Amino acid sequence: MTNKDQEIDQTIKHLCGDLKPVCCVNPLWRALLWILLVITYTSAVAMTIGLRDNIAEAMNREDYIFELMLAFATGISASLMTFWLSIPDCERYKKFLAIPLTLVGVQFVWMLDRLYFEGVGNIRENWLSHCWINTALHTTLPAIAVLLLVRRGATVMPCALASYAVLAVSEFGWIGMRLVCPHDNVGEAYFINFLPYVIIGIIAGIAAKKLFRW
Amino acid sequence: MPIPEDDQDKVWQELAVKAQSGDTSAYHDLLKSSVPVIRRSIGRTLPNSDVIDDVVQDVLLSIHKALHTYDPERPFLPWLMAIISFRRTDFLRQHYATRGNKQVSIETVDLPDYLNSSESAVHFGDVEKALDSLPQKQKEVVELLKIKGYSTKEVSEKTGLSESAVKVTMHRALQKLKEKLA
Repeated sequence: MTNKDQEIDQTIKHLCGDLKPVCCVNPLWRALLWILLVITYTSAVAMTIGLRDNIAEAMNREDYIFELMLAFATGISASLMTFWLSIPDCERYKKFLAIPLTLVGVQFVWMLDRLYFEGVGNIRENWLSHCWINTALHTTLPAIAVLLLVRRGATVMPCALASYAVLAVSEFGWIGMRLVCPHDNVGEAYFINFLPYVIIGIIAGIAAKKLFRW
Repeated sequence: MPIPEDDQDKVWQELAVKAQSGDTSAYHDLLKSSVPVIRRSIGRTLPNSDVIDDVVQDVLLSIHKALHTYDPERPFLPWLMAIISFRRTDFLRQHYATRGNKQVSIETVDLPDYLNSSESAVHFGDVEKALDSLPQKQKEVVELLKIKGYSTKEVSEKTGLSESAVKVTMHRALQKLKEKLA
């Protein structure tokens, strides 16, 4: 037996000595737990800030409902992908990777379409103190929760996981903003309310390997 | 006789489930039987055989850390292969980032055996004779500077000659060697 073999044997013995009974991680249950938490939290924050004055009128608009449903579908699919990617054996879920991306692509095309036909629209002067603080309120807790839950897994795709986590948090946060912000023009709805997420996404992408190291 | 892959996976599945419930001996068997698979899998792709065992140990540690993510309903091998592939990529990324691919261990350099090769001995015998024919000072400078690899400054300190005198002596010695070996 060579020295290297002996070292490996020593490592195995050491690991056996450290063994403790472990509970299996089910990514689907974790995803559902997080989705439940984020829906409850977003609703609670929207209620606390106050729903937009014209919510009844907005709920009768097909474009508004379409935007909310699209964001919700993207958020749910991105959440599932995030948790599925948090385990090593995620190869079987790779076929679903395209779903949230396609939905976000539809959102982007929708935004461009509105931008072409409606223009940017009026942006309020106090957007920094108003919109971004509300955005932070909507997203901080879900972001911390997803980070803690995902770090309990062992991902082999940290960058993809970080991207889907950001997408999931953004979509639910954006739904929250659409419930409280009375202005639906492209400038506010997409540039002001979505811009922070783009910045968070870039930072998360850079830090992903460190954040999800195991 | 080797166990068929499907049967091996079932054995691993059972061992992994027992290991998750804290069975040390099952865990030992699981890790021990995984080592050849890990070694074989990474051995094909790593640039240097010296590092294979280090990566094997990394993979074993990763199995330990990620044991709770294994789904007992699923085959064990895809889970293991995902970890192996992740650690191998991690290693290669670090290896190339630190320019490890440009470094070669001195033990692994494949140098021709000049001392024992009869063909080389003929050529180097001539060089040795030519060196012996040089004046003592020139011979000393050639040995220190070209064979032992000292710098001009170090040779100057050892021989008591000035640095420029070392360079001149070396130049003259090389001229003489050139004439003798021509």
